[in-house]
Amino acid sequence: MTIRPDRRTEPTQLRPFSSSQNLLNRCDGSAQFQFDKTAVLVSITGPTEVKFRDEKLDRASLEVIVRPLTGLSSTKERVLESVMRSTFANVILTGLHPRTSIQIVAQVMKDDGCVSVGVIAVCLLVVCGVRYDKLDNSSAKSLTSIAYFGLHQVQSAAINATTMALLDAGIPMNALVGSVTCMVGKEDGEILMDPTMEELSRARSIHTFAFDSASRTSVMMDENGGKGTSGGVVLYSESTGDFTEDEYFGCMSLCQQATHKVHGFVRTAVEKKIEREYQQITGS
Amino acid sequence: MPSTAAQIMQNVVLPGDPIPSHTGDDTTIKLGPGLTQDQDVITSMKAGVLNHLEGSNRWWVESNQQRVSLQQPIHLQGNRLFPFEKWVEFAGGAELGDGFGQTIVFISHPHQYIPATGESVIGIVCGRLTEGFKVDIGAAQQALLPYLAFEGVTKKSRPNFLVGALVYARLSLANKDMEPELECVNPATGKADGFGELKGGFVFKCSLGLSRRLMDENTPILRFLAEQQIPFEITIGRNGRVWITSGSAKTTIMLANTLQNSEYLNERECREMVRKLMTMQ
Repeated sequence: MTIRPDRRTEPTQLRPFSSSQNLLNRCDGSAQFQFDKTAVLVSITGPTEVKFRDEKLDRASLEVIVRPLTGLSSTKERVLESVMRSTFANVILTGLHPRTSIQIVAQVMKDDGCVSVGVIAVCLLVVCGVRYDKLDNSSAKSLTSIAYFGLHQVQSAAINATTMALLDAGIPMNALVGSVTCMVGKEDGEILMDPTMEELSRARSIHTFAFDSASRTSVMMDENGGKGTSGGVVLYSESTGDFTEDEYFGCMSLCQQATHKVHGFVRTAVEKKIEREYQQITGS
Repeated sequence: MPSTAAQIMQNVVLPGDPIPSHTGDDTTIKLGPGLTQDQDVITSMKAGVLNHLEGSNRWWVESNQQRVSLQQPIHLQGNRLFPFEKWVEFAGGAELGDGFGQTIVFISHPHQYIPATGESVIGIVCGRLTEGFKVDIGAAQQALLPYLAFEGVTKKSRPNFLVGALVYARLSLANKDMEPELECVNPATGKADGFGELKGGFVFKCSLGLSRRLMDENTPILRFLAEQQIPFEITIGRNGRVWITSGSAKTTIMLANTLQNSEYLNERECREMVRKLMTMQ
């Protein structure tokens, strides 16, 4: 098995992830989730007063704001906002807090350079008087495509951070949401989980999935010959690049298994937090 | 009730976790805060510790713990998300019962106040409408305090609060669909019983858990302060606001700081803190 650039041996191995909870004290809940070099901090405020035009009579209205690492927010952030809004609208029990607003604010804290590398590459090409569309060199083109591939990592981290922040805020949910990213390699069609920037330059397509944690058997699993895992339902799926149907479902099943690990990690993190809180009561 | 750390850790639940039914099919289970029923399965809605009373069929999830003593159960009148009237029997028809008068411990939401009927809160008058005052109680919606919800009031002698006045009132109506309503009179006796305008003094914000614990007679901090023979008057609102007044501004601020700092201290440390403050005076 070839060793991956960051010394991982298995294609299905994820990079180490870490998280922190309850970081901010002016909001109702907050958490930061980090996939190696990509980190997103999410704060939750709610249920609070809602603007009249956003008021819904029978449920809370979800408001999502995403801020990029650098610069002003643009259409990319709007896409991520609508992704998160639709994903979490299925999970948060908004019917328990009608005519209120739950505000989710996500700030990208660390980005493993995908976006900035792409921007710098385009700028250098422009300075040298070279037009992008006249390039024959495919690696130069791939540098800029990494810019778009890198967004997937931010989406995964943002979804995981939002789950942990919602747990911290005590907003009622019907399941956890976990998200991972994987890619399909250009030469061999090999599926790699949680790719690094180097691996992304050799990607033909990249996929992000979000699954919920409720343990019911997923109907989709039957098409893959049943890996035997009773997993969650797909809440979100985004793919960029060229891929076949088999590759897509292969990625989905691998991501589902990897998402189990993310859910397990969230569970461990919450247990540790509760343990520490109880220590203050019973121990001291 | 689980009291050791190991037992506590075994009962940690996350949203979507099904609750295993410990009882036979015939007995009914009462669901408290944090639990919901989806057809035949009971699942948790929040991250917390699953609890149930010994020898009873009441189950609930304690979430966002704010340092409540598990050895000392606390008597409470209403709870955060589901007033007592709404505890639902799991198997069989819904039966509405009120007030168990039993030992129930629950905490949710450290910051955001969710109104519940019967709770006493400190509000700030924000405006006047034709039928009452608009009062901010720190919830998602502002509450309405009708002009006639006072003791001994007639159409001619309506109370006249200015915008920004502090009011201590009781929630007469609170549910998730309507804006909350307040009253400044005890419904049982018809007398004011301490409700009404709070003049002078100083209001500070604290977490919901702390305001709940301050109202419990087992919490020692107020007793320690009273033992020091400082005259003061205090009003505690369940919405995380505490009003305090004493002889001088300096004493008032000292008392407010003491109460806010006492949230994370145990009894011995509280006693120590009060003693230090007295020596500094």
